[in-house]
Amino acid sequence: MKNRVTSILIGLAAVACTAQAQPDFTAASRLGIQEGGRKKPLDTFAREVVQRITGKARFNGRDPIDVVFSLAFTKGGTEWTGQKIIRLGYQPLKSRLDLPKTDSYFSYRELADNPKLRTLFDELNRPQGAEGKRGKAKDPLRDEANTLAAKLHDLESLVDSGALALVPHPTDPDAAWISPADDAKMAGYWPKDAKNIRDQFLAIGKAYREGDDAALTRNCEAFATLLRQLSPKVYPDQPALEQEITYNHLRPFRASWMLFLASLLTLVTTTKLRSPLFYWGGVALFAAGLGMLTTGFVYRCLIAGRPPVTNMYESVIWVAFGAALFALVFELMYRSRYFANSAAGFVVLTLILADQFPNVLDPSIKPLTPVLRDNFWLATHVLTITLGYAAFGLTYALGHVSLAFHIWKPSARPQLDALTQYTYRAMQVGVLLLAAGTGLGGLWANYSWGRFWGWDPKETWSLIALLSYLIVLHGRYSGWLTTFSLNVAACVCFNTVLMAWYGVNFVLGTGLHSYGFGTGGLGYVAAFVVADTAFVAFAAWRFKSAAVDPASA
Amino acid sequence: MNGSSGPLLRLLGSLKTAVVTLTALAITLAWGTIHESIHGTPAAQRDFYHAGWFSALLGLLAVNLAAAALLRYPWKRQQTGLVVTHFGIIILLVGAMVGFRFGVDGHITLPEGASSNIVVVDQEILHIADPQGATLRRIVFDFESSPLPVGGAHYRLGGGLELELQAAHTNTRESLVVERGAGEANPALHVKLTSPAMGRMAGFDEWLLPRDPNRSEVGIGPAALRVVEAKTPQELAALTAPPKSSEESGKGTLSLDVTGKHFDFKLDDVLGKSMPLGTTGFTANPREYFADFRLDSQTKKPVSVSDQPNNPAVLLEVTGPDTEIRFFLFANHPGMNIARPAKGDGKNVTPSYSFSPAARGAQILVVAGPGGQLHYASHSGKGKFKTGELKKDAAIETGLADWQLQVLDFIPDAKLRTELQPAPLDPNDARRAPALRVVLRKDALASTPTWVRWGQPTPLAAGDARVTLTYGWETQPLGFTVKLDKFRAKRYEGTEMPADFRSFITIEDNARGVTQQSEVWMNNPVTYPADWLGVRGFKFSQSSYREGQAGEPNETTLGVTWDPGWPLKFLGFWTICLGIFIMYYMRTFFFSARSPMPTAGTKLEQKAANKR
Repeated sequence: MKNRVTSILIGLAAVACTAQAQPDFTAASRLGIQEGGRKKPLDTFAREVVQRITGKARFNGRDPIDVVFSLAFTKGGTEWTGQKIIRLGYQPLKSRLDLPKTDSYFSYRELADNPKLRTLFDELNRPQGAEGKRGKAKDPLRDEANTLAAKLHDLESLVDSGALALVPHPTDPDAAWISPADDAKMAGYWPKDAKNIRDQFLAIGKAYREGDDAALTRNCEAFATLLRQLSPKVYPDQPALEQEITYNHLRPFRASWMLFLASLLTLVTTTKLRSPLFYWGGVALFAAGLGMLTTGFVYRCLIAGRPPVTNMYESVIWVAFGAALFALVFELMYRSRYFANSAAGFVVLTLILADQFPNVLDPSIKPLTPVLRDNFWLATHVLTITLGYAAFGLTYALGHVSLAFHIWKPSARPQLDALTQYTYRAMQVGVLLLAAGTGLGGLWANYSWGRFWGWDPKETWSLIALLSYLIVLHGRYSGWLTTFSLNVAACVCFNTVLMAWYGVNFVLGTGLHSYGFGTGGLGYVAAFVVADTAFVAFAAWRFKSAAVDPASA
Repeated sequence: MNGSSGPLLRLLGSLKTAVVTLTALAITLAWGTIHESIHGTPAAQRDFYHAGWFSALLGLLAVNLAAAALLRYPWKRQQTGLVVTHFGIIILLVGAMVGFRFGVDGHITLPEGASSNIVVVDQEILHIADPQGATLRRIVFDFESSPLPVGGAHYRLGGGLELELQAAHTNTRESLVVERGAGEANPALHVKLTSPAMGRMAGFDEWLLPRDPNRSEVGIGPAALRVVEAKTPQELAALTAPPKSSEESGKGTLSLDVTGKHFDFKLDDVLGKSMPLGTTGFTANPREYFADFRLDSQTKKPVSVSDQPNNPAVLLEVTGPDTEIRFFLFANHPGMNIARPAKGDGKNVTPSYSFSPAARGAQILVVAGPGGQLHYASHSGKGKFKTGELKKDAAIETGLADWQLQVLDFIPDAKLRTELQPAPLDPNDARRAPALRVVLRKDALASTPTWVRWGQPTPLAAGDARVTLTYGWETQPLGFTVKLDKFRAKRYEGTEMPADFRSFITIEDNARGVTQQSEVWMNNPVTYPADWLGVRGFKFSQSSYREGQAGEPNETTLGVTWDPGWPLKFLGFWTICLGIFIMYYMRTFFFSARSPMPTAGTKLEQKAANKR
């Protein structure tokens, strides 16, 4: 908006100078577009498509809308086919295509002209012959190649404006939206207004090419107004679009982990200080983090119209939320600091994971498969079972703090006893919620699929997780598990939760819960599990040698 | 604790047994899911979840749970949670067993407009009925988990009847069996084609029959291999003659022998015209030409299915003194020429129709000559030609790419029959044709070994005993009729992603006088007959669908279940939740003293105290 006056004054002469500055895309971001089975603001579309193609939120530091517009409006004059914009990081695929291993960005021309790519696509997607073995459920090379094909297609359809489905059907809310550049379809949808719409669209392109911010804003607004006027029943409301844009800009989950990190640092560094000010300050920061997390959830619920627990990204965030919530309740009950700081550590870790790996944990809001379209069961079964994971996450974090004490401060008896009790407490919450969540899953399955239990891998693994904690509880009850080994178990058993949560969907890849399947991240998860197991083993070794050594008893 | 409880009960109810059982179960299940990921769901169901030992393991768990609860009788107030939870799990396990043992788990697949009064259960059965239709025996098969033993299996049917099951194949196909000794001429050639460049898969190794238009030709890329029969040396000479350039196009040559005189016409010149045959007083009228002759299976009228001269034929009328005959003449199959005299006996007219192989592009002819010798003629389609005699088993270069030809066997008087043979399953073809080979015995009498094919009722007799065997899916009567009125799938806006798909069904129950319309969609099953517990009725849930292409009706598959164990499962689940809740969060209500450690057991507390 500030730039408007300036650009009018300087006029065309200024184009060359202002081209460097980031143009104002506020009005453009508010255009409605239909993609992936829902209506969304252009802001979301641009973020998602740029993320998909380039693997980054901002390509070369440019606004995502800038990238989209430059592809759609300046194709003639620029070398877009030569621009290294497509991310390809999967080494086996690169070596199959004879591409340099050290590069991770490639141009459209490099890939589309690669003769091996076409043969690879044909080969991978050919149906398995009679002689061939049953196709593998998971084939990373095929998945990565298909992802690459989707990237190329995304890029092509941006360049020919086909992806810019900005124009709604006159009356049918379920009909496909069309690109204003598609003359044939435009004539079918809008026999009278096609030219008008198209001219307005071209004016946006012209203003963008000329770097005329004022004209860009004016033309975008006029374009939206025109379409809203023409198709009032189909075009999304301004507040709905702005709500989603606000969510996009707020990035509540990033703000949340920062608050939790601040809380963690405050609580850990002020352990020795007597003043309650620091303790309550830390808890307040923790509560603020939880508040921010809740805000993010409310936004996602409002945008998607359903509980936000339908993909891996959302469930990771929900588990962080649950762990923080339980920790806050326990913290207010026990005033011990350990609940808050161990939960803060866990939450920071999980939220950073969700925030920093959009290529594995896809944050985009997508429509649901028919079987999940039931808000009652989504809210009861999925929320309960993931809250169970959350409680075990808290158990896991407390177990680690406890093990750390065993390693570095084995003499701190009161803390150790308290920590073990907390671990046990959190484990109880988890057992109740996981049992209830698994059973609710059975009730839903009975309702939706007609059977209560069918030994589906997801079902089976949540039962295995439950059993593993039951073994610990019974072992504790019988007295076989000491204080120390209870904490070890709290850490080790979390691996079964990881398997039920991540492993079934991303590693095993079979069963009826296929709507949650995905790829990627296996290396990170495996490395994490190995490192964690090493830590636990180290703790056990230290504990054992300390027990043998009478001096430290 | 009850002091009188036996040592066995104490062992079964001990915490040690509990921990061992739980650990064994957890490890087994983990292994089972890995097994499933590698070998697929059916294998996992067979090897783990539906295996006898697995049920035994769950049974051990139930015994352990019950014993642990019984050992603590009479129960103290603070043990409420433990006892409730344990009984909840037992109720759930009993419910699961009841459902597994007595429940119905099947499906019905209906195209729009169709109805059904039975439910298909995923279980193969052989149904044996007497001539009055009364069931003699129903044999359930699960060949995947218990294959037929070597040497077969025997089943008593009562009344001295015995059924021997000799073989079972998951997929079969009809194959041609060629034997010698038909007593009349009927040539059959076992031909093998190989191409080193194309590899093993591209080859061909089968019987071909010159007299059967459906089995006389095989395509090899753009070219074709044909087997033909030459009854006279003249026919043989014509078939193996090098192509004349004039014959490389056109519609072939028509020859007529009338009262000792010979006439040749190019069909192109005479088609549709009346041709007086010299001074014989006869007239030939070639009325119609069929490049690729086929008898339309529905109208029973001759048609040409393409413009390619794959099976050239001509309809010829010959009229003359006291003669009026219609001929159907086939260039490829002169033995099949048809004469239909309307007047006269037609013996005075012998027409033939020949079509130079060269006009038909690249092809190899294998000719069974009149003296039992074999010849071949290879037309490359580019003017190259090769011919010669063929010796049995000797491979020759055909001149077409690197194809090699070999005649493995030649039977001039072949007796033909079809036989079922095991076939590998084709993963791209959902259809399969399983079959059982059975023998029916009564006393010393036995039927011939007979194939009972999937879904085809097969009669069988031994002596005077007669039975009908039907092999197929097990079905159960619903007691009412379900009709699919229509099926609709809704998409997410602007995509092909299904958002919602639902079946509109009508349930007609004449016994109860009920007709009701219902909609079944994901997360919205329909139970009929409905009752509040959900025990009595069949539950219909939307399972899968297939949308009809180009005006075909849509098709829906509904899961049909009846689970008598359902109320127990429901009760068991909520009892478990209540029990755990009582155990952890209602301690103050049931057990006034608040212990420092929330581990409920008093025994542990003492032990722990002693250790310290």
